[in-house]
Amino acid sequence: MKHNIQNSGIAACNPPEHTMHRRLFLEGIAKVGAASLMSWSGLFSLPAFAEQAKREQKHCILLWLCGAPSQFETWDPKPGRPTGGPFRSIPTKLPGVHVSELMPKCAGILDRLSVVRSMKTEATEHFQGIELLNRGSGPRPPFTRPTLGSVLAQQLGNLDSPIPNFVFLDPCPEGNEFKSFKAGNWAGWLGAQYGPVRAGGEYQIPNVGRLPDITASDHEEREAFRRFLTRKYENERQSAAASSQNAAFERVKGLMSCAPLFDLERLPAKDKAKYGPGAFGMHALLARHLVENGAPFVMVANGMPWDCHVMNHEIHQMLVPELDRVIYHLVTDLEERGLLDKTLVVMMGEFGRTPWLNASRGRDHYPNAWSLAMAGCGIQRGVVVGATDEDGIDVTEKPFNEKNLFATIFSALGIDPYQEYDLPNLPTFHRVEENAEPIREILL
Amino acid sequence: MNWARSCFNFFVLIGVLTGGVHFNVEGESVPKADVSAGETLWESHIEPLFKQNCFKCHGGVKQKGGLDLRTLDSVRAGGDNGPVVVEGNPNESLLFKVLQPGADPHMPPDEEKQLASRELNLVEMWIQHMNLGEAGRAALRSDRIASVSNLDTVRVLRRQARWVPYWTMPIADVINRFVRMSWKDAGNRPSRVCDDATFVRRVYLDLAGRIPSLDEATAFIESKVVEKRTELVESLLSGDAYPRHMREIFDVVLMEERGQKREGDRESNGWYEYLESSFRSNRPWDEIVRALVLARPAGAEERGALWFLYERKNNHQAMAEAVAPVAYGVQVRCAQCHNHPLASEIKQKHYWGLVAAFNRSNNVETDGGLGIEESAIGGFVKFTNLEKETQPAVLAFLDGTVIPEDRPEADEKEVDSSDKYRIPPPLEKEKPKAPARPLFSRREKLAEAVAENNPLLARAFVNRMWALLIGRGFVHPVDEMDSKHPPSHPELLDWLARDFERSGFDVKRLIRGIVLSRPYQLDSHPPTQPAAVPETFSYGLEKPLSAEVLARSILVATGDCCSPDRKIAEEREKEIRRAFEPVFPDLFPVHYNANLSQALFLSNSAVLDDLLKPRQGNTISRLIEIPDLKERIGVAFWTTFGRAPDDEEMRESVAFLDERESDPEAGIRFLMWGLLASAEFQLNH
Repeated sequence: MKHNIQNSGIAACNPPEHTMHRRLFLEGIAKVGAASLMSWSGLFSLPAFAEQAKREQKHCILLWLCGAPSQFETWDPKPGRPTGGPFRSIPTKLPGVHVSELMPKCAGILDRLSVVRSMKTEATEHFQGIELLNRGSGPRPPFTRPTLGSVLAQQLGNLDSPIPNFVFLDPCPEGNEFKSFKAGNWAGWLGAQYGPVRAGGEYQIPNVGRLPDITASDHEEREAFRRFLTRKYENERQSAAASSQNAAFERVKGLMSCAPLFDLERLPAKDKAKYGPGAFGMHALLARHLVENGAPFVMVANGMPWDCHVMNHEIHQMLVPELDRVIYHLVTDLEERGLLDKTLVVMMGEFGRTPWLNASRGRDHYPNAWSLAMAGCGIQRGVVVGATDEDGIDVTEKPFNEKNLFATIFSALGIDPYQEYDLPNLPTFHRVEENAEPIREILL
Repeated sequence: MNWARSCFNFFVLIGVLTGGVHFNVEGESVPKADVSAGETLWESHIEPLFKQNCFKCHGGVKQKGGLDLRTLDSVRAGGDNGPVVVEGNPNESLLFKVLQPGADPHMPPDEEKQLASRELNLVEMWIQHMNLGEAGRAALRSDRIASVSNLDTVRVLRRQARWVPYWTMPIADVINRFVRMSWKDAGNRPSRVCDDATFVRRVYLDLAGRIPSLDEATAFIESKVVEKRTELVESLLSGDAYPRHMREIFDVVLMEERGQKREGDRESNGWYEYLESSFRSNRPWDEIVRALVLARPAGAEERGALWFLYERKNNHQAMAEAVAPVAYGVQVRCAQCHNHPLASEIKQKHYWGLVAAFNRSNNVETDGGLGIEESAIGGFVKFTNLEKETQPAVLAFLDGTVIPEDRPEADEKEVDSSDKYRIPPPLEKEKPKAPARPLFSRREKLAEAVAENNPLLARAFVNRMWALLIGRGFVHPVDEMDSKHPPSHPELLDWLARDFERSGFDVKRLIRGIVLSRPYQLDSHPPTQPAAVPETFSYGLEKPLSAEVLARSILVATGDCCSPDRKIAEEREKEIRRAFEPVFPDLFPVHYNANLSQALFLSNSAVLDDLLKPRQGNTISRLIEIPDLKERIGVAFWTTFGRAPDDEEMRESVAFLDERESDPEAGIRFLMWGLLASAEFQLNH
């Protein structure tokens, strides 16, 4: 692992080994196994490798449907059953497969998506569910497992990249239990450098814009003067601290240059009309835009709107068509741009909703049988896996839990799902625990 | 200690300092045992190798096959199926055999994790050289006991009587002697003692929490007083900025979470005032720690001592975790679920022992204000290790103290009654007059155990203060004073700790001693290339400025701190400080690395930009007034770096300002920005 270089097998390399033939060096890496990814950054400095890396850059967009949407009103309708609710189901591009009538656009592209109808997890409350579906495993205090985004930032990203490796788009400052999750430790034991950069709505990357009272060239020359002083200090005192300051200032320019990428105003009006109106659509569009420009992982959320304990049907009637439209445009746009095969799109909440209604005509939390969808990188097109009984009360076929899901996501992106975290002072943890199987039916 | 004995000790010390001969208690000279290659290899290569590759299954958490590879003794003890090494014969040693490529079984179990042949050679060599005679081994053990556990180190070193009574020699001289001896042994060349300009900046940052103003620095540099460094240290230690700076530091040390949210409560509940008054009046450190653990403030002025526990809102584990680094210099968090995986002396029972000391305590509101009551019964918890074995938590602490306590039988129901209390809890659910206080108080027992006869209390504080002032602890990281982190200068640490104890935990005395010593005053340009490792203390180490210190120093440099109205000045300072706090570092980062958000803040924050706009009487407006360009640059350097520019810097600066001749204000603003954002300003060096 990158930051454990001194301790692992080949890392204890003596100076002569640094001049080793590169092929031998690579064999050395192969020998100690996938655990030693650390020297890749060195290899990337060779232009050919950098170019190849860019071509092979994989991405992931998570549409985080916080609060938990109802499977009945989306991917697993039960029309005519007592649990089915008022909406009908409609046929899709896949013969014999129906989805809720609230998702006509997705029905038309279901041959490009894969749907899992047999999610079965254990967390019944939001704070547990949000943790579970973002980290892929239950808590084990005092250790904090990194979230999906942090793992992908580390695995797919590049610390020198001007674009942040983990972008979290959520304009909503609130969101009940999600709000406290947002304030928590996203990157866990990987370290803060793999945490999200938050943007969207009020949330700007702090201090990324140049102040109005200074011109771009003055900004640059002033920085050159600072660099001169700091280099001098660094050389005279062999100062690692000064060197780290210069490295940090190097990145400022890159990030400032990509700040306009985050500006919703600059997105084409035509695209905005397609995805909008609404913050969720706008930020899904922004996610596409960031991925087009090289961002490895973008998570899109909008507070916790899906928690429908009252008037489930009315609220879903408002929210699902927006989701339907956003998924449709996101998937078709990525495909048009040749990015779908390199970009994994995951659409999910933290659990499903009850088959029965409560007294306020709401559906409550239901982890026993729920659905999610995926598309793109490493994922089969047009596969529906798993099934629930006729009332959607339990999974009848192929139950999958969060570990299966995370193994699927990592496999789809070409990341070893079972690699052990090789960090100091950490007990044995793996990217996915218990060697949980991925959902092979939907993997390419 | 009687006179004859102390004089004797003194001479022993001189012997040690000058000749390097080892003395034992009786004063006999014994030749230092030859350390065998096997023993040396264990420490230098084999243990690190096992730590990396084997400890996960054969360490503190798990001992698969009954095998524990953490110490030489435990390796020798072997596993469930007998010995794993045949000393002197690697090829007969199971441990060596299973490491071979293709061995069955193979270790580590994952075939991919084959040790390199270089590493196998090491293991082979080590087993070959383990075969020492029993006599030799015994000699080794007594000589090397220092590496077994901290507490043993302390006791052994004390027996070796290397402590000089504190009235015989100034602390700084003792530090100088010990450190000079270590330079000599290791062949380090120290840098020269720093000049006055460097010293005044360094010591202001460390004791006042800000850079000196131009006037303060000039006055010091120009002073002709011979003992002016001593004089400056004295005046800073009795100044107003010292208690505030110490309060900010110890607020971080004692209360992990910081920030705006907490500030109001800590202020209004007297926490800040307690810390400040403690450092102002030089309250003995053991007394402070006792008050924090006891949480029964005697009078109004000690009211704030309560807040250490009170803010933790009955979270007894958080209390245990907060006390351990202060009382014993270690972090115990990982011992919640299992014995410490590396430092074998930190057991799970110690974690739960500390928890038990607090788990009868609860926050309460009384007629006399907030308090923490304690029950006379209950709090008999059990803890479970990873093997699912359960045992009861007893009052066992890290220094070895075990407090005896009556425990109820398994099926016995305890009855609470007022005769178990000095101050009984109220009968009904009425507001109590004072917090309940039992006759047998667990908190009281812990407070005693921590503050009396606990040699680790002084060591932890000395190490922390050394780290704070010198830039790195004798033990690094500061909070890991366990057997796996031996101190770089064990005798000096021990001497300072004893002196600190004997002086009645006199904080100012210790600080004075450190900052007047040679290691503190060394210039920060390393005299060799590459620089010697930091723990040689052979040149001044750089220290990143904490957010508060950086904010305040920028205010001094930009001349914005000088509103005649004290209230306005304080408000202004708070506002600026709060802008810096979320971005800049806390204290004691194990590794300092500047990060992107700091660079962004310095580059683009309106807060810093605003301080660089000309205002009546501030630095920028005064600089613009200086007609001569070189003089203007000189003053800018003096105001920020506390020194004159060298020729190269002058050339670059003149060129920089010349290009902006048409807009001199912008020129000097940008120049000042460059100075403030550069490493020389951002670090204490």
